[in-house]
Amino acid sequence: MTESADPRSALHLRMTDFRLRRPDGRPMFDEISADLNSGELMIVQGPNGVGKSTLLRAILGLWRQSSGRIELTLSFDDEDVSYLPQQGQLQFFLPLTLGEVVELGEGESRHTQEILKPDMWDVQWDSASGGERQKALLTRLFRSSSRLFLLDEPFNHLDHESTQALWSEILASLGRGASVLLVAHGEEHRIPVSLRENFPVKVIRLRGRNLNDTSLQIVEASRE
Amino acid sequence: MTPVFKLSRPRVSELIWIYKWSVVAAVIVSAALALIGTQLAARQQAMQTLVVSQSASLGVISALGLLAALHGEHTHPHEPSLWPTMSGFLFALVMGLISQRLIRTKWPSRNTYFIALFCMLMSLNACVIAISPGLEAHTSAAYFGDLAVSSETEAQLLSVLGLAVGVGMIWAWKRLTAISFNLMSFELPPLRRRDQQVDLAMNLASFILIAGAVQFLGLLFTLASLFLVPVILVRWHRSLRGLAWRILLATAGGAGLGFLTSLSWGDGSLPTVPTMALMMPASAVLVYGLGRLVSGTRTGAAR
Repeated sequence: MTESADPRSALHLRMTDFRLRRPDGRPMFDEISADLNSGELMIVQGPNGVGKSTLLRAILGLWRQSSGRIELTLSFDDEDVSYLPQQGQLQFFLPLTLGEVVELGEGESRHTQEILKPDMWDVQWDSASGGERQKALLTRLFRSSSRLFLLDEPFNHLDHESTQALWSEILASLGRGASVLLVAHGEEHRIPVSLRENFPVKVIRLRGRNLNDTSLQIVEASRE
Repeated sequence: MTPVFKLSRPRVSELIWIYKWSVVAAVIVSAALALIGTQLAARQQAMQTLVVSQSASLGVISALGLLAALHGEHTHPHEPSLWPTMSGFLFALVMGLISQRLIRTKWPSRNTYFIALFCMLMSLNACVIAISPGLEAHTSAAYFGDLAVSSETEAQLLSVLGLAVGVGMIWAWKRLTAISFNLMSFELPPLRRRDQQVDLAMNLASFILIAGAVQFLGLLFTLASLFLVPVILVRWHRSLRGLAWRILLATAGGAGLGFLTSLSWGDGSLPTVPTMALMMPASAVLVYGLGRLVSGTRTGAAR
């Protein structure tokens, strides 16, 4: 895909009739068709277990049970795509500090809002709180100059100040032509006005599938 | 009266000179294995490594048995040859692939399956030794090593291999730590091609180094080098800073000190490889203590 002169028009991600399936073959949700271009924010919403995180992993090529198409025009090898996973296992064998977690990140050290403050860098990963870990992971993520950020529930465990810092990072990334796809619970109501006014926001709502009901859930992709 | 000539025991310095290349190989290989073992422990692959190492031992034994059968049953099983190492590498690779599939199944209590595999491989090892001509002497060497038997050429080749792997591990240390962290914390495999290549290189290097170490230094030495020092030092550190170098130094130092101790203790009756293994944790304590002393001295001087 050739980028046009206007960085906002560059396609970063296209989903065409894309549907995820569970390991037993049952569909998770109905087909999704949506584009994410540079300078756009896309929010994927839905109840627990509907497949939001799995959608992100499918975009990364880590979930194979699916149909339809995903086109990712950016390359992992060029460090164009960054991914924030949900927090998983709490303990790690090696003695990492939060600062060392930040420094494990790839790419150049771009100036960031420092969601994780410098005085927290010596806190050990194993004994840090969920919020402290999340701040370290977000700081690590936004130090890169990626053009597509895939964020899985980035607001989990964050206090108000850190939430604001995260929105500032997202705003700054959109401003330099990156796109952001984030999985969240109702975050579209808290999008800063400055972001809404200057950048397109798309919302994909995945509705939960009643396992006793053979009818499939409704997917809406709406531009706000 | 016929003079009786009494053979005197060689001095320690003479023995060190005789086995110099074996000791050099042991020290270098132990250090490289310790760096690999640190990453494997971080990925919770210790049981998998036990099985891979035993599989490498089976590969080595099988090749030695085949060589002995082809060249005649009185052929010494330790004549210089790379075939046993290559066979050990292939067996380790196959078991590595099988164990990776086992991990991906996410069956509960995976370690139980690994223990079962280990028992099978150990039993096969014993059977191959029993039915192969000329391998009886290798029964103990398979587990406890036999530094006296490897030739200078073999020891030199093993040293070069260990050095190459060790240098590679140090060079890629940060990247490998990031990969291990993402794998264990988020079940996130490496996504970038160069990360995948570095990870693959580490796995292949670990298989071949384990095969070489198992052939010449035995299973006990291999496992001790992989894990003894890392499990001690990671508990005493609060950050990664300096950890890799201390692990490297403590393991190599333990191997060297252990060799010297086995030669000089009493009448030299201590078994060499087990003594080297026991000296590794002692060396870890020493290195950690020295490190604290130095950092304490620096802090004092700064004030």
